[in-house]
Amino acid sequence: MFSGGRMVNILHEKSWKTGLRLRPRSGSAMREARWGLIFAAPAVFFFTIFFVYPLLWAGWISLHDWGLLNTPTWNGLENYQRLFSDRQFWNSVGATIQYTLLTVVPIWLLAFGLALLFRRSFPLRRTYLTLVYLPAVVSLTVWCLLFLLIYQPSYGLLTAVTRPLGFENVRWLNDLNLAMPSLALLSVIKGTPAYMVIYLAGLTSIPNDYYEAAAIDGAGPMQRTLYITLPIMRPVILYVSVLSILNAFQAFSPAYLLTQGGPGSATRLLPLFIYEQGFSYFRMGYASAASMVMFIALLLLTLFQFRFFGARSQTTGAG
Amino acid sequence: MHRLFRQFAVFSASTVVLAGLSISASAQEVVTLNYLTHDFAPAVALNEELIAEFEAANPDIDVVYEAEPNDNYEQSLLTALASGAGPDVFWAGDWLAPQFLENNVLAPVDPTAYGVSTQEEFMGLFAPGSLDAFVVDGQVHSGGVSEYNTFSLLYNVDQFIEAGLELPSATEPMTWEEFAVVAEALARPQDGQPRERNAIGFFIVPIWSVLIMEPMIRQAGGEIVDPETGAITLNTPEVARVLQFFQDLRLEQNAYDPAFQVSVLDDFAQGRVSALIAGPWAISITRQLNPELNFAVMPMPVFDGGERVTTLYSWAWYVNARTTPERQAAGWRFIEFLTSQADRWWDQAAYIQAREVTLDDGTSIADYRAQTEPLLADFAGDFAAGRFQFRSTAYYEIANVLLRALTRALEGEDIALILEDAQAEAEATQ
Repeated sequence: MFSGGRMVNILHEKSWKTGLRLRPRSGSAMREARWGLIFAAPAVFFFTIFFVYPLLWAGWISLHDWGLLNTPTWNGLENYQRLFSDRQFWNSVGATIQYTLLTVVPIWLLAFGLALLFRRSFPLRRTYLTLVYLPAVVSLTVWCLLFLLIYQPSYGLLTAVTRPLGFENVRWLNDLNLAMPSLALLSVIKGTPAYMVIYLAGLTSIPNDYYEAAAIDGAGPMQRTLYITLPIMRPVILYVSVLSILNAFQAFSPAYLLTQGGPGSATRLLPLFIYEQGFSYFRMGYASAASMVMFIALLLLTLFQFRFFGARSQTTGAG
Repeated sequence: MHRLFRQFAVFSASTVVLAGLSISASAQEVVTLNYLTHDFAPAVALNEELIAEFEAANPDIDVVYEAEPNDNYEQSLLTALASGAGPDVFWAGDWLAPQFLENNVLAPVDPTAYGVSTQEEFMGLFAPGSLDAFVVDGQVHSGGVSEYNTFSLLYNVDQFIEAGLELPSATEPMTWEEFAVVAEALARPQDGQPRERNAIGFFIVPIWSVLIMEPMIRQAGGEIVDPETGAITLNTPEVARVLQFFQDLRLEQNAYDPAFQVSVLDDFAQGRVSALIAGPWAISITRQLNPELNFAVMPMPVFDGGERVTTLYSWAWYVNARTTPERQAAGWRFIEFLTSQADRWWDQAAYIQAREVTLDDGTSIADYRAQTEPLLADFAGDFAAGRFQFRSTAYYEIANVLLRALTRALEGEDIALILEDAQAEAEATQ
């Protein structure tokens, strides 16, 4: 009789046997570490210049009133106070959460499902895999402009699909209730293939021995997925969930190119709100404050995800 | 061999030194001007042509020209100015003038570059009122208007005839109420059938929401920004009337749907829009997009009982006040030359400029334009009824509030609720 717990314990022992152990530093290890630092230095340098410095600068400027043309003047936490009482900001936060939920959940399910499908061998597998992956290689701007035509209510491609179903002149991007799901749909189709490949890489790295051993013990497909695939895939799932949520929160192009945040403010995602504040209204301090709030929110969310998945990994002993 | 080498070395060194001396001598004399415009293709081509002529006539000035994409032009300009490496001479819309002036970006014009000695004389070189947006304390902060515009309606003559409509007058505006009836006939909406055309077309972007709605609000007796107090007045019956008009146009007359619009200029040229709200610049673009299109110009409609008011807007040449005095002086000379070529700006870019130039044969530039483009005369009434947009350093924020209100109205939301929100959002920008 197959026992999921037993299989997990086997994996747990295996991970300890292959895991890193602390050893006293030898001379060669020190040399290796030095070389490691030397090789990492360019990346650290560029990360500092292009990420750390702008982040610190944005934090600093968020405490100022700065309209690009004037000299920044200190205004303490005024930008933050104003931000938290700005209904457009909260509207954008709501729109971003809605977009994230509508995007990442379908992406997780579709990408994982497709990865499971493509893990198997079947005729023309590579051809299908290439076709499914195509949206990932198309530029996001081109993709958005394609969907601008696809969503055209009178002669768009989607209208050709919906017309036989009795839905005429569907105003995908202008209707207050449809605009956000329409943006999410194009993002799901565009984003799924990339995450599918990540899942697929994770799935193909699971040795077949585990599945064979579980099959001998009488495990069915569902049990194999639940007790072998998912525990081993947990780090990959964590990576995909963190990455997809970060990407969804930072989505800019679809809203900018297709709806400009409208109708009304229905699709004014937070990055678009920040862009407008900074580069349309030239309120850089205010835009920086919004950016800092978004950064902190994403940081907390990511830490929560790591903690959640980490804790789950420890309780099951995998990962 | 050794001697030959020495002679060659001395000759080479002398040549390098002499070349260096001549370079440094000429570098001391030549002033380099950085010039930035947007990238409207016909205007870019003409700018390049004029720069070559100007440099040939003024060897002491070297113009480095850059054209930024129109869509993000203002962001590029502001970012360049903020970095301290901004252009010495540039184009910008008049609506940015309050922000530039507040931050001392614009240099006051040097009238002597134009052969006159006072600010008043300089203003006399241009159409009355065309420089009003750039005057602070009696000083003009622009070298001239590169593009002077109002809006009228270009309409598809064949579609009017096909709909059994009488062709509109070229001089007497119809009312918006009459236009709503006309629009319904033009769009020919049929239940359950795919839309074939919009009766009216315009860009759905922030600045256009002001350019189109503000004159309508003024016709109804209101203002977006009270000129006396500077207060934003959006939650008013006048703004409600305008939003109601657009809401009805979509939902009652079924004559307009922004969702149908792909590229408004192309939509008009290809017959997917019957009447296009646009400036004189749209004439040549439309002819390029579809040389066969039979179109004419009608005045912007007016609300029943309202004053005839249309919009005025301009792009202008500026000199960066933060650049060196030498570059500023060179900049004014350069702009003087550019503004003196009004006939070429009209011929090649279809730009109407406000400088009142007399051509070599004694023809005034206004007459010349009217002779070369008969449709232009039909814009005259709207130019005469034009008023500049409201002035505010929060221009774009207010324009976005208006655009949000318009798009919500078009989706059938309650107008009173929209205006309540719009007023609160606009006040939050202050």
